[in-house]
Amino acid sequence: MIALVDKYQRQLRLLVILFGLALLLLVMFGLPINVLQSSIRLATPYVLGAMAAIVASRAGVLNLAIDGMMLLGAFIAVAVLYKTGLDPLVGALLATVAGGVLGLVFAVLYLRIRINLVILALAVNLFIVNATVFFMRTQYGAFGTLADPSIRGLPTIELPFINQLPYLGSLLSGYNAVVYLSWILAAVVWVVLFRTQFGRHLRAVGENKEAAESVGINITRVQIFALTFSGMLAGLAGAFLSIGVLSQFVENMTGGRGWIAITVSLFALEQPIPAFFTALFFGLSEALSFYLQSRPEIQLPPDLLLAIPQIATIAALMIVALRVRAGVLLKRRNFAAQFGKELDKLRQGQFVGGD
Amino acid sequence: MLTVLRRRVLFAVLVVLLFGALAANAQDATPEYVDQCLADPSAAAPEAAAPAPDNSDISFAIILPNARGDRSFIDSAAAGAERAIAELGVTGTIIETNGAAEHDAAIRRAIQDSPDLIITIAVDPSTIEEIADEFPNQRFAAQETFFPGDPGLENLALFNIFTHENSYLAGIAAGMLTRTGIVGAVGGLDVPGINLFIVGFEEGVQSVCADCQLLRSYVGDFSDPVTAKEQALSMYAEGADILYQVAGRSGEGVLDAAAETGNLAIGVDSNQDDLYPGNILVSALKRVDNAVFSFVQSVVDETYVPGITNVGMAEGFAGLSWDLGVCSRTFDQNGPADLVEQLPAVRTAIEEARAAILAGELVVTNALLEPAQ
Repeated sequence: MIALVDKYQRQLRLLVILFGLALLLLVMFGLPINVLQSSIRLATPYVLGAMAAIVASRAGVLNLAIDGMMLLGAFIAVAVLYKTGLDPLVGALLATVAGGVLGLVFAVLYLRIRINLVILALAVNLFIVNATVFFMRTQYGAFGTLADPSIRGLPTIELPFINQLPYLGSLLSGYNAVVYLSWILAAVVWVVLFRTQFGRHLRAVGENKEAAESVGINITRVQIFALTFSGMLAGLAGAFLSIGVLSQFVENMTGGRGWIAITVSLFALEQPIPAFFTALFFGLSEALSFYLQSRPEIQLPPDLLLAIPQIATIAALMIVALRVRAGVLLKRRNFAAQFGKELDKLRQGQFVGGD
Repeated sequence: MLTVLRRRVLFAVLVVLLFGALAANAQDATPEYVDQCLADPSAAAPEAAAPAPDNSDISFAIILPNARGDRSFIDSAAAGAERAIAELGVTGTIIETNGAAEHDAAIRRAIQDSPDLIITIAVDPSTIEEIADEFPNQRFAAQETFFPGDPGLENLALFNIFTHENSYLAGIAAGMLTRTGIVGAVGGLDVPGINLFIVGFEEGVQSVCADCQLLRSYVGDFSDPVTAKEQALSMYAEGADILYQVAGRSGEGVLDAAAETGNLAIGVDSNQDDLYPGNILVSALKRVDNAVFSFVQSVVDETYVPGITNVGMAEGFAGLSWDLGVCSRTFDQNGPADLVEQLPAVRTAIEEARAAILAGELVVTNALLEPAQ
């Protein structure tokens, strides 16, 4: 394989670009606009959840409690609006705050009391699932579903100027505030991580704790901040599910989306911008599976179509792994070609450069 | 003089108008649909509750497969149990569980109290079969569990409620009222128990609208309204204007999508007409509450008979929310005017089909018994 990769390196790169372009054209002109809009909506919790995962793991803490934080956000958003008549944006804001508080509690339990990170995360997830059910019953007398006409969903906002554009207008406009916010937040996370001093500190803590500590970075403070911010992002993602898509809370309504968000961040090698597009890809593959199911001319079993996101994930993971592996092999080969003689000499015990 | 003449003329005009109106009325009334619910108000109202007899020495326990609040069959089962407690004066315990992992333990715990009857709802057939075999002296009723063959246990009873026929009736309503000629169904999973509803519905649609296009999709989960809503939005965007949801708690997303896009949806299991008034055409009811109630009653009356009984529309276990007993008229009051106008004709067609089904002249495919569909 290495020989092939080497020989057709340029063509291979061209092929990847061509493939990407073809995919883009297919997506833009081969699919109805509503499928693309649907995929952007489906991608939003993944975008926010993946940013939450990236911020935490870049600071050296694996945040596996994102699903629980999302669920808490979803519940708080609805609980705040239930029979209060408040603006849905207040619900989204308080859901964000609640996610942040849970992130803070998570950080304190982990950093101060030193509870095992994985066990703590699983405990938080389980606790939130059952606590939301408990409060739904004791506070609201609701079983399983908390819905009321007083709970209004986030309104759709048409962006001025942009919605006038011929094709992009209907693609980029016509969502609720959280969708736009998720795009901004993806950029914000990138700027914070890679263009600020705090981001450098955060990444340093994640890369090597001891080294970061030795240059005077307060590790605990950085990690507490990262987990709080992570929780806020996840809480907002939850609010999107309960008052962005629907206007009700349903028991365990995240449906594992927090875990998919973690997959998205790993998939994108914890880079915010690639993670954003990976989330869109996940959203697209889900929307595509719904679209194909509802087309009567497609005679495939629905279970197979529902598995499209998973199949696409495995395929994409394989491509990423192959590319990384081919890159490593190429580097080694080039290195050997350049320094092979010197290496051989070194092995024979001769000094490099000495005659 | 002039005034008298004017009065006479006026009188004559009025008489002519009155007769004309009466004649026109008589012409309109020929294809008349008599709304049973409006014609006989006593039929709509539940019978005055007689004072409950004291049967407190008779006890039952009902194990729900999941938490209440699906606004669907679990709530229906719980409602049946509550009605039995209130009307039959028996002692009843409602036990909620949190998924299949807890069913076995919950049933065994209930057995320790040795009630006269244990009712399980949608428990896995192998679980209940094993337990019923282990405790031959405990009577069970395993509602909403589908056994491929009769397990032949002397202490196990259940009703197989077939809902293909009332789904067919809901399909007639959808087929007659669709404006776009495209209707769809959103199921929870692609399994025979769900396709029972969908196949019946689709046959009903096609019986009145042969060239209607039928869409179908499955959520893959019964508790994911977010996915269900996106699927519903995608189908409405395809041009569908009426969707039948058979997806448990996920179905909330379908109803929500109908309200958001101004389209129609059809509810399932419980009466969901009032969740989004005017956007839910009708609900295809599965009277799990009646099944639970009759189990308790059979114990009170000492008429408990083990085995599987197939029931459906004929026995009153399946129907529409428009029917007698529920008489939901929410859509009449809140629906779009052009569709509400057609409702009498729709109801006439439904009553004809119902009579044909009950008389055995019309056979709707039962996807549960013929899974080849």
